[in-house]
Amino acid sequence: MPKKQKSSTVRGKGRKQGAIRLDFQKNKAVYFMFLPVVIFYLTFHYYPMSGIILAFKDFKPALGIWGSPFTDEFGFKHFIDFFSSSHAARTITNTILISFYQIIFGFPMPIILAIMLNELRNQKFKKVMQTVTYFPHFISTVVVCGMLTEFCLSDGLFNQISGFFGVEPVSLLSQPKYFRTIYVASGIWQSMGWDSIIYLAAIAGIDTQLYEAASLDGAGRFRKIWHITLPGIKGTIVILFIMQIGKMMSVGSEKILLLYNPSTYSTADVISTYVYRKGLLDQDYSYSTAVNLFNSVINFVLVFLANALSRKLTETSLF
Amino acid sequence: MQAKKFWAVLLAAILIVSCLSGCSSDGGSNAGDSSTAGTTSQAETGGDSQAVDESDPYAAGDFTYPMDGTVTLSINMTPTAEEELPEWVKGHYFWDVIQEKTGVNLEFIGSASSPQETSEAFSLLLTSGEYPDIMQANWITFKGGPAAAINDGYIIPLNDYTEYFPALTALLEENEEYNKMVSMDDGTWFCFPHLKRDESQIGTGFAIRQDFLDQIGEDVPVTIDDWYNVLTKFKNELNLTAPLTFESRWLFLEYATAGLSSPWGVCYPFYMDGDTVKFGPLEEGYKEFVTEMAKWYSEGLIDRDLAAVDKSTVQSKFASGEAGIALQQIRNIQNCIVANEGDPNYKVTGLNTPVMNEGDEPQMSHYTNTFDGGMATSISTQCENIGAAARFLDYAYTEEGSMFETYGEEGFSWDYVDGVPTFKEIITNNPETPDSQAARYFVSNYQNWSIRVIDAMSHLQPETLEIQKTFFAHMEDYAYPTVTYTDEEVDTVSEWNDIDTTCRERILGFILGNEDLSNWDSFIAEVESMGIQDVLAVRQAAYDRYQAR
Repeated sequence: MPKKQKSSTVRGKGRKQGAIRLDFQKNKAVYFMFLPVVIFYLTFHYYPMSGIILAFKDFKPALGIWGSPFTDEFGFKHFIDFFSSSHAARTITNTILISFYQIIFGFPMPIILAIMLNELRNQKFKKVMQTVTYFPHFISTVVVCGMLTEFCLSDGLFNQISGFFGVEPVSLLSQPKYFRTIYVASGIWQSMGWDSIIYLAAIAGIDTQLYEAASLDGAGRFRKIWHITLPGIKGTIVILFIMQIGKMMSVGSEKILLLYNPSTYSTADVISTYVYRKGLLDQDYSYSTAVNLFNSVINFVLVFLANALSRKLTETSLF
Repeated sequence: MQAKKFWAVLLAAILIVSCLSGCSSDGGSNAGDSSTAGTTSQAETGGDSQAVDESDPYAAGDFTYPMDGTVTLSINMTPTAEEELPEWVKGHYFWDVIQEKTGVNLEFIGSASSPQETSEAFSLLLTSGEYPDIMQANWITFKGGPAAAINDGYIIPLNDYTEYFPALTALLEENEEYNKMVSMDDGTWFCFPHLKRDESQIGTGFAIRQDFLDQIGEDVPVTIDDWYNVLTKFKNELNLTAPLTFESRWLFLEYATAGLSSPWGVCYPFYMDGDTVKFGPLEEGYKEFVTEMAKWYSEGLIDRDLAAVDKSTVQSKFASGEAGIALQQIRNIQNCIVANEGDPNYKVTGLNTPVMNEGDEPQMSHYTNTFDGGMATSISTQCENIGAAARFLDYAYTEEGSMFETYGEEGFSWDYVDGVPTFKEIITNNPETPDSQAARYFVSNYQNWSIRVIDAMSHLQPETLEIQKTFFAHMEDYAYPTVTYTDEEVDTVSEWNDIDTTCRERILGFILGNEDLSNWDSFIAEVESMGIQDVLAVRQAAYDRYQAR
């Protein structure tokens, strides 16, 4: 059985190769035009990847990446160190949990917003709403975090609001239990409007005749949303969902770095912030490369799985 | 057939892996060899050129400053840009004048290292493989210490070049204590040090609002119970939201909050108890300190936002009257006073380190060692003109140079008045800078390698200097000296980073009440399991070697 498969792939390959050669001869100029792109990707995206080898080495700047010696344990010392440290479990859990909440609460938001905007009949109001909701996207993360820090102080905005209801003021950013909520909620506020644009575009692409036909059949608004709008943007939702899953293990460090402090490490310290502290503050380049490599591998596997799953379930997939 | 192939591949893989690991250990030792070879060969060529070139202008006994102006040296520094200098400074800026006086052209390449730790920009500079002629960095806090910096081929040991820096050599030979501080254990000199004196060693402490004290009718608190009493009254009678405020980060910066834990005879992290190195949190007193702080925090005596405040928030809280006692750097205390100038009610008094019982002597305070590696300046392995570089750096330690570093340009910023160097109006009463920080453009404060004649805090007002005097206690008896570690010790020492992170998180959690104090033993167990005893042992060994220098 394996043998047969092999021969068939070989034959397939041969045919493919012939086709490629023919195509190349035909479209030489086009391939030539494509060359700069290839070079760009090779130099700036693939060549730097060779630096991953750092993860298996004891990096010494003076010796360079290639000259530095490999570590003990066949180069896996840093991985063993990471997994035997107490940080591994915690940073991985925190990363997954924050991503998980982001997906649960953050992912549906732009879809809901887009559908709601689509249902608005007053075009002027719709435009204003759209602008208002995607405005936060243009505020830089540093500014957003500065605002959040102010709002979360014990005499800040949030505490003043809760003070109306007789709640004792608390310093929100110094208590681990509030961190994820603050992080995820502010993330939704920041990106909801902007992310909804792509869904609005998808909705705009739905044939209006479908809606008319549905109205004739006596379908109400919710029926139309459920049976026409949602299926119409299903493909977009799935692809964005795959991409979201792919980012699951890579919760960005910038916003967390700006918001956390040692008292909230227990819920806020994620892989990327740990890598930052280890790599750039403690200058343990090899170790942090190892941790990040582990992270990337998991990410890759996740994208792959999500993609396969969606191909199976919905016949829509990224690759 | 398939199975056979599988085994073949596996075998090949094993071979490759073992080969690689073999290579790696070889590679390691080779690399070490070659780099030491590199330094020795450089030392040799240095020696050769001296022997061959009889007319070496930098070694000659009749050498005088300035040099002929043909030499350009690069240095990783970022001075204030020409266009950003105020008009009245132009032409007299410290970095311009020092080039003039030494006759060397400087090329500033940025990427300065911060005095406490190796900065990100500086790490990038190291990885770039191209170093400036003169490297300013805190090699003490660099991973592996100065020994690694020399072995990895960043900087050169200076002992072979003493003829180029006679002033520093003389200073170190005359002054045993200094020599002990700035040498490595084997006596190697690796840098042109920045040596501090009292006033800049203790620059952080407590200040209290005297007018608040008057309002509640209390005296300046002395014992820790007085503090508790005063803070409670601040909260209850004056409704202060942050009776005591400071940056929570400072609990874990070396000795920054030593004054607060002093009544219990402990501080964070390592301190000396006679000849024994101690780690604060392991001591019983530290638990009592944390317990007391947790109590204060829960009662609202410490700033609710302790974990979130930074230096500027602390300053603004103390300036605006939200806080009654603040732990700050002396400069920030002065800023608070300046901000309230003209308000007759705003009065600030310095606070001594609190004591446990009436009549005790205040013991601990903030402290930085005379030499802590900060602002130390070395010559890199890529420097082509070691003689000129050393001569340039040595200027700071000459008689004329140290006056310049301390007071600036004679005749411009100071003059002798009856034989005593005295600042002129441009420093003491300069309408352009009401915060009296004019001196920062003309003297070397916080800027570079130097020893100053006095540590004139020329930018401080007399009132603030009075406050600073209250910070002084007996910390010199407790401070852990600036040591260096051996190659074997470096890994153990770097374990400290993880322990430190754990301590920061847990101790702050205890104080904020996020974690109950009944978990203290589990915290100590965790710290023990992370190897604090090994770190202590290494610290002790390094201390013993330091004493034996």
